[in-house]
Amino acid sequence: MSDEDKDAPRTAAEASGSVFERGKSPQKRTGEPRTTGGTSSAKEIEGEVLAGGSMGADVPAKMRTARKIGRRKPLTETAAAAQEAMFTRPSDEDGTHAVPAEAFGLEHDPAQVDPREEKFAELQVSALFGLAALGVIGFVLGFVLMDFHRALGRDLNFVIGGSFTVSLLGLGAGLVLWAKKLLPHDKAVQERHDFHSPEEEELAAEDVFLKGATEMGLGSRKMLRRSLLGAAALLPIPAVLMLRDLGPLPGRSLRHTGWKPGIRLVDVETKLPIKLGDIEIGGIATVMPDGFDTTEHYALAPTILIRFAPGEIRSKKEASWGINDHVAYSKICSHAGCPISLYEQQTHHLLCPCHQSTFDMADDANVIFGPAARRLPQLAIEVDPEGYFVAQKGYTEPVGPSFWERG
Amino acid sequence: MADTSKSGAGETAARKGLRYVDDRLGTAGFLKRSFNKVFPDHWSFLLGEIALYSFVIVLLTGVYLTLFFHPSSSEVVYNGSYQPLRGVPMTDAYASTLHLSFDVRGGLLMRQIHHWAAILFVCSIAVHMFRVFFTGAFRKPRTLNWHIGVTLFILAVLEGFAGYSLPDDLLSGTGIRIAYSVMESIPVVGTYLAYFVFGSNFPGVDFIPRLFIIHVLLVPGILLALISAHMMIIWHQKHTDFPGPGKTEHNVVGTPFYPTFLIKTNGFLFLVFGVCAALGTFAQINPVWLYGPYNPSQVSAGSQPDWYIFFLEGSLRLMPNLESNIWGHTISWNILVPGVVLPGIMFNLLYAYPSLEAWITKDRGFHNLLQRPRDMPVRTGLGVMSLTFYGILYIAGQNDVIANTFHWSLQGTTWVLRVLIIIGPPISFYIARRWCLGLQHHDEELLHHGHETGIIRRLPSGEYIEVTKPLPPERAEVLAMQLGHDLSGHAALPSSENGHGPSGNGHRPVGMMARARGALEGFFFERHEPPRANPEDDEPKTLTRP
Repeated sequence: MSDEDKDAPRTAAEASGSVFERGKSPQKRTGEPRTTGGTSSAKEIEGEVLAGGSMGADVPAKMRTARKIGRRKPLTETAAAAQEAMFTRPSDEDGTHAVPAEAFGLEHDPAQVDPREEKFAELQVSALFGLAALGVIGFVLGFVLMDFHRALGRDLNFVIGGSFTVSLLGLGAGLVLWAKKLLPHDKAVQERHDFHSPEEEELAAEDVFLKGATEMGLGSRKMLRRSLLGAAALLPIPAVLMLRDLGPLPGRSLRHTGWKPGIRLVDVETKLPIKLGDIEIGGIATVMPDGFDTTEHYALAPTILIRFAPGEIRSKKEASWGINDHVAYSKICSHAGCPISLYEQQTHHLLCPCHQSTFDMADDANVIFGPAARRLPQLAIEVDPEGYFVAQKGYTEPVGPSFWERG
Repeated sequence: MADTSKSGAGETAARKGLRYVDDRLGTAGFLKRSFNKVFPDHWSFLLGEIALYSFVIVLLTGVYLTLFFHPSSSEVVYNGSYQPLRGVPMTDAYASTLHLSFDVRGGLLMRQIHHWAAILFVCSIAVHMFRVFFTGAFRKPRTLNWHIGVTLFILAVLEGFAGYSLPDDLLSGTGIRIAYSVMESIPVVGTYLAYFVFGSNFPGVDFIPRLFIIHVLLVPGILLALISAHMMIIWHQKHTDFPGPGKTEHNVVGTPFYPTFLIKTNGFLFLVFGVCAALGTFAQINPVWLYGPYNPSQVSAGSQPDWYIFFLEGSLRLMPNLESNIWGHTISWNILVPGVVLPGIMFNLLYAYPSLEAWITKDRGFHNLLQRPRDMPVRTGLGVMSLTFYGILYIAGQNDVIANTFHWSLQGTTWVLRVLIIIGPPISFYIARRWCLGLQHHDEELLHHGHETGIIRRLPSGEYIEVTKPLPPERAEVLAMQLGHDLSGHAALPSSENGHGPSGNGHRPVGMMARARGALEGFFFERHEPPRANPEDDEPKTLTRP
């Protein structure tokens, strides 16, 4: 700070004679609080608590004059009464006291100095509260009178939701405006205290604890201590065991998908078997084992049946597990188990919409992009005498995401 | 506003009522203290209030929803008002959600308000947490409340995920499918964990009822208890405040709880509720009837979770495809790392940060006054770095939507994000820290020379100087305190509380940990010195305006 400032008060607190430290110089209960200045005795009674004191500020002479004259017009009658009430509230052990807004460079709201503005502010707040009441009426009328099923309830929702919104916002805005315009802008100040207790108090508490421990004799009675700890350590075991029947053990069930030799491939939507030639070149179908239901194998069985143009399949193994350019692969992503559903006909890429793992279906479902680490398992298929696709055998490896026992 | 002393009957009734309670509970002292309790004013203190009030809204609307929702996986055939799904087999959970939406007056409205308020709940907790972090409000004595707050954030995310998973539509079922895979990826116990949680292989019939009771009883109960503890601790410790005229480490300046704060905060409750109601009315959210019932063989492109799951989705998308097979056991790093390890590290760092910072800075003091982000450049840098990391994961959670919207290559977008997740955080740390130091530099200039007036004056010697206007004294004092100049002892600094802090403490560190700590401390408090070492050199060249 430059030297010129030395004589000037550095803080608002200094300028006003420390109005912020009222807690250390409590007021007497009686008398006109705003005219008692007495800071001289502050040090002598420092820390003493006068529960009966009021929140009246220690306003020094300088400040008092400023407040009396005021930079603007004097407060209106109700605003002055509100301020009076705030400044004469009983204080407490935290030395809570009011400090005039001027000490912070804050101004009173026009509604507190101009009776016309005050009337207008009251009108505004009341109008908002009235709006809130109107909102409720709108809600009731809409609820009772409107045809609920029109446009799937959309119209009713707009009317009751809209009036509910108006109600809530009116009430909220009214309350905030009330506080902002009509309540005193003066501040309250109170003391903070240390959170830790005085030294002797801390020591006493620790001693009580330690004496109690001595009474128990846990330190000397080794056998008792160990047996107690042992029993306490064992006690959670029943609680954990009780969780056993939350579910079956996985066993080998993650390796079963419901696909068996000779089972027909049926469309997941129509549940009808698919014949050779039902799918166009470049087409795909999502298939399930015939007779599937939503309980077992529901999430691991989905399979995608793809028909390539002749010669497009680049993997020998892939072609040999398929039939007539038709191949079947698990539709469950080997990453996080989403059903992979975005097939790009030109590139033969199958893309998982969850995490964008991309598989080259013409190259034995090789992973070409994304977080998936493994190819999709292929289902060996053939055609039964009636011309329907059937599985040669089940999947030869577990489908879907990896798990510890997968191997 | 009628004064109670003037309306005699009202006053008598009020006194009688308070007396009634006091005679039975002895509340007079408590009430006096509570009514007088002072709350400081700052817009950023409203963030926590938004979280609190959105929780209230979620509770109220949620209770209503439970009256209509059937937490059941049993299969029914839909026969309600929504034509496109009539005759479709679906779970009772999904069917009752449709019933609630289309055959209960205002049911959809309540569902949408519930969903919007839940989104606001998680969001306001997160932003509130940034505020607390960047202003150092987590420091002693408020460390316990920071820990409770981090727990609340985690629980809120879980609660939100459980909530939008309940309707068993196609979108939520996909989310649960991924959650199941994440559980499966945990080494040794993963498969068992998934089977015990779901009661069978995915999807099974036990999960929805279990998730329901977690969503409506278990987690809300813990949330309610922890929020109460959070509030009681705030009440007991008194709110922090930014430095300002008359504000010290030892006082609170603001508005009394009763009546001003009470009126304002209730008004704010209704405003938050009003905003949620407006969103619930006019902004459609989670239209489950468009997604259809869950079916494990289907998924729609552009499946997106709620915003607070984006970062997990993003980390799953960015992770390279690593998987190992060790001694016949599979470890899928591509899920384990982004889905389990990464959030574990992130949340544990959040828990640990207050202790880490206190250890590095040797700060054992009590702090009630807040810091500005620029006052602690390294902390701010770390915060911005973490936000950048989180932000990139957040963006990666929608890389397909972004690539599609801007017609970019999906692979290219992913690769750019993979690079950014590595280089973005350190760069943002560097920028944020330099930025803070620059702002400190600016503040030092302001403090030493004041505002530039734009007036150039010629001195008798012929020299030209710029006239500056010094800061008002109360502003200068606050600024000096924020910059760590202990001018008057009037307001306590971290450094003045315990002799540690920016200036260092002088004794030589012993041992490796201590040396590391010392080096980190030096880094933490490295700051811009005032522009000139000797301010007097500068003095005659500046004229100040009175």
